[in-house]
Amino acid sequence: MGKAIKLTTTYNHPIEDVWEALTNKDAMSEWLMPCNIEPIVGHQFQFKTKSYPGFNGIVNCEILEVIKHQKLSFSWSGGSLKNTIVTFELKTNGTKTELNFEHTGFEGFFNKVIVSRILANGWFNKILIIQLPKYLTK
Amino acid sequence: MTDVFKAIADPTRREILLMVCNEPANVNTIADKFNMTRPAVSKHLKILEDNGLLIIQNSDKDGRQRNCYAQLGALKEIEDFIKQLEKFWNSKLNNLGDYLDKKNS
Repeated sequence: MGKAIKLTTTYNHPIEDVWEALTNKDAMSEWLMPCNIEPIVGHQFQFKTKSYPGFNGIVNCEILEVIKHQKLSFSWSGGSLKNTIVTFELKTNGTKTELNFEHTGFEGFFNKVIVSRILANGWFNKILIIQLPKYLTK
Repeated sequence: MTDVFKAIADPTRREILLMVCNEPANVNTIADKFNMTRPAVSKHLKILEDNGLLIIQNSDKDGRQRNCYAQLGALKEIEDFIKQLEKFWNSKLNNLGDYLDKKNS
């Protein structure tokens, strides 16, 4: 389990086009989810998608950072996620554009606290060896 | 999904969880170890139990011995959740590529 979700992709398109697709609400609505994003710091917007038990289908967001053609960051709260942070960073790579995507801020979570402590205490293996098979065979 | 994050945000509850992960323990032992009153410990245990991180079972007939067992289902649930979320983003970033190809072809 990682501290964050990190993905890197390269698109065969200039940075301006990728930036437009990240910041235009019609574009974003098409490739991600219906939304009313505006690339203005403090702008609050929503993604609306299908609901399922435990998730009403709405993700509330607020723009946190905008650096034109470089960085877009917004908060992401929906379902069991509260105030997590989604960040898109762009870099020109010749005629292509490299996108570094991150979804972070799964606070209280595991990463920092539980996993690191379990690892530090050497209990992680114990849990895997003893507890997990018990759980799986129930 | 329940609020596992909140349940493990508290250091005492993390310690309790780590303690019973290692070995099931009864409520009195936990209270002694943390130098807390039984009601205070019970409050923490209830939160862990409500979030599926712990199972509390009576270990004798008159129910005086209450044993706590770590329940890792919730932890697995977190892991699965993150995996699902990563899949979601992976597929969306692929969509973005398709969108760009279509729009700018």
